[in-house]
Amino acid sequence: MKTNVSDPQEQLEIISQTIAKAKENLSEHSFAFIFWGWLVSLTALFTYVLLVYSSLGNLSYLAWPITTLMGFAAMVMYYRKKEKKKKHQTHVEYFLSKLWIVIGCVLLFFSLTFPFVKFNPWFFFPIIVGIGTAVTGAVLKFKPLVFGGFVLLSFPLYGVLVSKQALLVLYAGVIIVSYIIPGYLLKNHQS
Amino acid sequence: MNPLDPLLTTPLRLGAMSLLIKLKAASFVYLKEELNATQGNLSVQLYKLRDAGYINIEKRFERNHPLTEIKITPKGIRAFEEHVKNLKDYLHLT
Repeated sequence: MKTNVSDPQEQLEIISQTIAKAKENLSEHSFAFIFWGWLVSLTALFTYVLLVYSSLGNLSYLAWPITTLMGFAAMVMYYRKKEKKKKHQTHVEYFLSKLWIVIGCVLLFFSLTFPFVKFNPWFFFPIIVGIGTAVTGAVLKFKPLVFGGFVLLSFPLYGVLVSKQALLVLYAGVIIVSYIIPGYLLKNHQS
Repeated sequence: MNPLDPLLTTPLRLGAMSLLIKLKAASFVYLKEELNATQGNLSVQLYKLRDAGYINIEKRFERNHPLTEIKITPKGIRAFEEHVKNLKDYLHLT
């Protein structure tokens, strides 16, 4: 490598070539959406099966805090392992990690308390998760995630149109549209 | 026209600043790999940037492994932006 470059054109080329190397790798952000997409949609369908075909009644909803806890444990393990190999952090990664830690803590707290505290989880959870998803999509400039975020955010509006049990099937479908499909699109995205 | 910052006319220092401007933090190993630099040369150039107040170099142990983390400072960001502006002025791009 040369010790000095006096040509401004050459210097600008070095800058643009080097900056391109530090470009955000979108596919790295796909894991969480695919993982939570499958976990949440399968939990919703599992809860529906328990409600309809077992005598557990409202106890069926306990599947939610159990799988949420398992999901959080798996995510902590995954990101700790990833952190060990990581050699740099972009501003976007930093912002998104803080955003989802806050959202994750709120969700975990309410997942654990919702069997005991009276509030409507079908109103609260999709909005919180929808905000995080839409903001993530906007920051990554990835439209399928922004769309997915708004599908989740508006869930309380169209969710009132179906019965309590059918809500679970509807939610599983919404998660496929807002998490699983954008997650796989993100995974295969060429930056 | 303003003179170009002599600290940023070396390809390795300019490359390091161009990477760091896009990152919150980078390890020494990452910069070495991305810039195809030798350890000794990169160290020398990074210390020059640190002495000018353009970057911070922090050495610590993480899970029993030594880690050198480098971050650009606000002064470094201003210097880099000014340098790019001056380069464009020279080329009459602004």
